[in-house]
Amino acid sequence: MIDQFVIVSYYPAQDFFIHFLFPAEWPVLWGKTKSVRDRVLAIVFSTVGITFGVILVAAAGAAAGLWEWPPQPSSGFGVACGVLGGAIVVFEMLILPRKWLRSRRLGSTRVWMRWHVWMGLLALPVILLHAGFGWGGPLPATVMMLFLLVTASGIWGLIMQQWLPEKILHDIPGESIASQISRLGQYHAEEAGRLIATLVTVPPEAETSEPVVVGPLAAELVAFRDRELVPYLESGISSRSLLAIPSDAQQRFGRLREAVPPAARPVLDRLQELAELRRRWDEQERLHFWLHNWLLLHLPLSVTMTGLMLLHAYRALKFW
Amino acid sequence: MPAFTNPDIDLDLLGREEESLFARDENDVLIRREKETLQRFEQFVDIVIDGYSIRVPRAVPKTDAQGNPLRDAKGQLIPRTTTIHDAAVRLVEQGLWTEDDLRSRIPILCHQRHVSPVAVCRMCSVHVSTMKRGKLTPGRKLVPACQHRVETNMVVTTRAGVDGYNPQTRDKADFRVVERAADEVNNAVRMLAELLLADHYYPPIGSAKRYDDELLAVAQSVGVRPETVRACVRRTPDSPSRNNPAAVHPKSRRFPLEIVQTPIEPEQRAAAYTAWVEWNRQIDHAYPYSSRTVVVDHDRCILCDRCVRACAEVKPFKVIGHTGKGYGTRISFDLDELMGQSSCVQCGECMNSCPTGALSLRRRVQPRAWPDSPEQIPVNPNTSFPSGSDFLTADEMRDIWLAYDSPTRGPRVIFPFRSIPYSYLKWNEGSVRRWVIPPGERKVLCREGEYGNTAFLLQGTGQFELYSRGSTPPRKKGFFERLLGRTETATTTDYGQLLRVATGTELVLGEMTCLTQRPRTATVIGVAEPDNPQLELALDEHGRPLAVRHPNRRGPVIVYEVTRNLLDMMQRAESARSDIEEMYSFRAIQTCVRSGRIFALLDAAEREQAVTFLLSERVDGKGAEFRRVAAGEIIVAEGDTAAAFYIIRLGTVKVFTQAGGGEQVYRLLSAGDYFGETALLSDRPGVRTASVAALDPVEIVRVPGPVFRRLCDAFPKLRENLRSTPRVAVPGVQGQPPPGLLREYVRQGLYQGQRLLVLDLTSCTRCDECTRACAESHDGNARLLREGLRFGDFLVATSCRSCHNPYCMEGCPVDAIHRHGNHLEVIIENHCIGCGLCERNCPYGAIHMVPRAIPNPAATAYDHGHPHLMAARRAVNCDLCRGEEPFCVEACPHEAAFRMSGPELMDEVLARLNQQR
Repeated sequence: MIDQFVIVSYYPAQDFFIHFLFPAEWPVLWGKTKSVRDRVLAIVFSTVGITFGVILVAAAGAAAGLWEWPPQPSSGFGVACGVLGGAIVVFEMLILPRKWLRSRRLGSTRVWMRWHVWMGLLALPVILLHAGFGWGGPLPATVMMLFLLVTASGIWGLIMQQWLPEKILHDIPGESIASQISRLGQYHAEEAGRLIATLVTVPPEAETSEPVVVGPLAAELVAFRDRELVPYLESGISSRSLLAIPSDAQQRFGRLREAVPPAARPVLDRLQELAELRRRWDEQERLHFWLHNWLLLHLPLSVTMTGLMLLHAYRALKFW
Repeated sequence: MPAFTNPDIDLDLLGREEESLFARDENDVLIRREKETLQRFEQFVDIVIDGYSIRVPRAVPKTDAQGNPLRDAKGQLIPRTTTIHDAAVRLVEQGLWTEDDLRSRIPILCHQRHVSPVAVCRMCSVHVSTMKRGKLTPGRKLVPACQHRVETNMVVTTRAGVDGYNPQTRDKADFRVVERAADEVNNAVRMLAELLLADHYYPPIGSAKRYDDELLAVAQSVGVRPETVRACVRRTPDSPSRNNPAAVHPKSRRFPLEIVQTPIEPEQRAAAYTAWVEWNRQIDHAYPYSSRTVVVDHDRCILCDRCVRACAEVKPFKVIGHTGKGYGTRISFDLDELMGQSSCVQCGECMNSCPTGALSLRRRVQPRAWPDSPEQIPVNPNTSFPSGSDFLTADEMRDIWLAYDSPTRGPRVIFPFRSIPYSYLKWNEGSVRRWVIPPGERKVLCREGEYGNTAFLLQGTGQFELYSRGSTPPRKKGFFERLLGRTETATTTDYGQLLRVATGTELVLGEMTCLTQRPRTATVIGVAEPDNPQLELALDEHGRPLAVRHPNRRGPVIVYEVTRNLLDMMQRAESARSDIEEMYSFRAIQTCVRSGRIFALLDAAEREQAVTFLLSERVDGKGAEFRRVAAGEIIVAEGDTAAAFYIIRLGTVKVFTQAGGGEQVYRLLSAGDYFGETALLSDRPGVRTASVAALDPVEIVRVPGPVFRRLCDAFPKLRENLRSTPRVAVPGVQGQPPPGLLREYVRQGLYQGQRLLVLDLTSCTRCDECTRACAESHDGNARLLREGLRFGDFLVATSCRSCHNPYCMEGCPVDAIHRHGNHLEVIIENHCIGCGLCERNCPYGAIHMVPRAIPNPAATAYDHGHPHLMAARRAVNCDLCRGEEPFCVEACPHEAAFRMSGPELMDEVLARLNQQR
């Protein structure tokens, strides 16, 4: 909200309406150029501000005698709030077909998303006013409960989306496409296998007849490859390998590096690099999960809540 | 691998040790040429050919097929040995011989000027004598003119002999020696022609002409005819053929193909289709080595190696080689695969090189450069092209003539398409459109700002008005455009200010957009005055073509609109290249002055005066000159004495110094910028304090120092402008980027990008909505990859960048990739033949080859197509969703995906850096 007041001053008055409705040239929704902390605070303050602001306006109206306080769901004001809230919920659900129909000209998804967020925040006080700050019967109470969960999960997701992308950017230098990590792990496992093979066997084109690493150390290297390194590169943290722990990995590679002849050390450096990359990808997968897992809650709850809301509306209007 | 000798091979790089006088190249072929050196550009030899003396350098720069000099890794010209044929070509250039003279005296069959000589056919044999102590010593052997190097005191006799001897030196000639040498040459050449004809000449396949039979033409020029060849009885219909892939020494029977010409009127399309099916059936049966585009007939092949060299030198594919031994030797594709099953990409270069029809055209390409063109251009090359159409047939293209008034060589008539192989013209029939402007009428030929892919050849009459509105600011989007993401396009009739009026004798207009892939800089309107004179082709008393104007007869203005690929092919001929280059250079200097920042303070009249000044002013014989600079080439070296001032017409250069063993880039300069003025305007001649190197192919105008000082004296505002104008580090960027960021900007080639797909990684949730949207809107093939290099907090995704200089468009053999209208998107048309050249050319990996999912609708009028009409794969790239807001950006739910130019991205990154500080 703070950013918005700043942004408005960027534009001449005659363009305000257009920029407000279709703010494609707004620098950012939540002030992306600000710090993560500022953006998260902006979300929290916006939620609280809009909620209390709308309730205060409603209370002022009640004080002026326009409607009673606390508002009753079946009163004119309560029904109006309910209709408005229902319309907002239906609008909120339209983001789904918009995202599914990606190859249709239905307007910019980010504009839809902005309105989704702002209207979602507005829906909270409107529905609270409609409910008269109570739960009602079993069905309205269920709908209200789901509504609050949907709103909370949405705000949680919004906060995650402000925080985690920047964390991935700074913490995961070798970031890759999340869905390709297992495939890349396979490639790296193959590379590691080849690298160790070059140490313990004699390549056909080699000038010497003896491998770089021989004897028990060669057997240890092969065992390290087969039992620890390759499974870790292929499966990451789920392989339960000690290489997933940085200090253990450092220690393990350090010991091997000391044992092998100097000619083999560059290979070990590369292997350690691959293991570190895999560790970063594990971290990326973890962050990726947190970045998107809120949708697992938000989406089904939204669909369920909308269905029950329509049922509630039908019953309420039928018996009103 | 091709097995031919490369006379310019660097012996230092050979894998094996030298074997006495011989060595082996990387193909294990014995060679004994010594390495050419740069010094030999300056060493000259005098030789005499048929009594004509000529002085030539011992080495000339090696060039590519387009005549562009090739350079090594150090940026130096690569020398190539000057041959006797090169010296003979000089005689043509000096006007002592005509092209016909050259062909008659030294007939060539296996040689082409743009590839390395191999001297396998020996049709160009000449006799060489040496002048020693004033005495002529005849050589014992004939030598191939295409490969034999020139030596001092060399006296060459061609088959023209006494009859063709220079009349001015005739009295000094020893006719007995000349006559004997000429007889020797003639006997040898005739014998070779007879042998080649006896083994390899057959009547053409089908009823329509599809290629030039150079073997027949050369044989006839030396007086040998197929019907008189003694040994032709060997080639009865029962003679063995090499076209049966199943046999070790194939012995299949040949039979003539009867293809009926079928017109393509709508009601007869079914008949045309039947003819096409029948044509393919017969080709499949009789010439199984054939591919989708090329008919392969090994029996016609004379093993001249032109196709082998074309595939390896002109194009980089190296698919064609040899198989077999002795008489059984033939060309092969990969490891003797059928051409259609080999790794051949169907670029057609071998077919266009073939002199005998052993590789000939099977199907035509349907050009799609014309928005209003009829769709039904016949695919079958034996089917006639619609008669009376504006689209010219191959024969009509060959007959095009233009009256050109060259500023340096005077008026003359040129035939622009005579040098292009017939098979190429046939392949691309429909690529030339004739516009006829009747007297008293006007026609808009092209509009300013459009990315055209055609040029206009002017026949010689009429006037052409050039208008320009200058740069217009981008239009703001309206309410509904914002909502729906659509862009409205409007055609305006306000063409802006009249720049100049060109005449019809200026040869070509609109060539800049074809040669540089930049938008057109002016709107051109062809004007046929009511009294426009008629122009006719006639012959002068020497039989040379002459354009005759009939002032009393009214005639139309004729303009030929040609596609970019034909313009490229045209320029393989030296004469056409120099003609176009002449006009191009002249206009480049004009454009530089009109749009150069240094001339910003001058008004229109003063700019025209500056153009005239630059074109006419000379100091010590040196004036302003136009130059092309290859990517990576250093234009100005740090520490050099300042000698010239430079204005950039096209491309980007970097200004840098070497510091601490590394390179420190200070600034980038692009089109319209200038450099080199500081040292010239100081009181004493200065030295360069920084180097300037081209980042991509650059065009510059070089103004010598004294001329530049006089220019500044004549136009004092220039000096004022030079002092007052601040220089930015990166064109279009306001801030001053730190050195590391600027280096990265250059390294990633971001200065090239006009519509980079950038993802703000502080906002991007890695949801892949952009990739999904791209795939869903493009038949399931995503044209972007959410991977790439990072710049600041941004990821520059792998997707088309809409480069200022689109490398991908260079060399497309069928002109399938280009820009349309005034949009930036690079369109790959459906008639792409899948050669993959654009994929190789794109430095950013933005073009992919994908299998064709649906039949090629451009290839046939029928719904389901035909296997022979379809390319197995085609190139796809980001088309920016055809000019509307790209789906990748529109589908992004966060503030993450943007399309922006390189400077805009730099501005964003600098803004964030400043904020962090």
